[in-house]
Amino acid sequence: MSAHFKGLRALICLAAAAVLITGVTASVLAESQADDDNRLDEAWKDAIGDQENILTEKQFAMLNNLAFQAAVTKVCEGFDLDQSKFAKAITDATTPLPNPDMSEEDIKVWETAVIMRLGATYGVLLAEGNTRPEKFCASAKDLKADKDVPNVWQ
Amino acid sequence: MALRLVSITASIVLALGFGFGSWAPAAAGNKGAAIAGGIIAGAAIGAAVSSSINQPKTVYVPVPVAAPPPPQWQQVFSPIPHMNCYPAQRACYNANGAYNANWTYKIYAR
Repeated sequence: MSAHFKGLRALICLAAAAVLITGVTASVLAESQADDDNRLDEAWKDAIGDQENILTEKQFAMLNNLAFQAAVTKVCEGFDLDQSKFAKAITDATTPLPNPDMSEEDIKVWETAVIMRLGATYGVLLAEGNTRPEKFCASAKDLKADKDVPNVWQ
Repeated sequence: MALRLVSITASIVLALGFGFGSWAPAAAGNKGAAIAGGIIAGAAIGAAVSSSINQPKTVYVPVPVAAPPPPQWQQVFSPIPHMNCYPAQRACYNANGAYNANWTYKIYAR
């Protein structure tokens, strides 16, 4: 193989690498410039996307916030749950029952579904928090600083 | 070429038609003028027929149909700039950021 051909091949390899790097950089820039967020869309869809409406909209949101605060205590420094506040908030978030005439059996099934929902939400929020802990913990600080929004931290 | 022949024939027929049509009531002195006028009118109509035959067929472009709404799971709205709220999840997120408990509470739990 001639020296000229070797040089040409190296040049082609360099050019290919440059094209690849440019492409990757462009895609990263495009992603960072998008007005997206750190939500793990597909994970949420897989975890709770096909769940029935076992709670009201308000109850789901309250449960989300409780799961978030529980996840914050694992990801961020300086946050601890107040166990009594947390227990009361869980009760508040799951009261009243969706149907007051539910049988004991139905109530057990419903409670299991609620606990599974809380656990799934907690798990995905843990994943989001550990993926981008700075932003996750900054958001937790915003919650703690907002006196109009209840929290269950100490 | 066949179409052009048809159109030329049509223009001659029309010209003669116009010419004879105007010849009967016309005075003898106006006969030539009537025939000439008929030829001109027939030629004009023939040319118009010819040009319309040569026009490309009308292309019907389908009216664009509005894109269907995104699946419920992907629906998002912004109550304020830089805030994304997902109704299916009952949760809000900072744009380019994390879960936002403050706005989740304000939008869904208050």
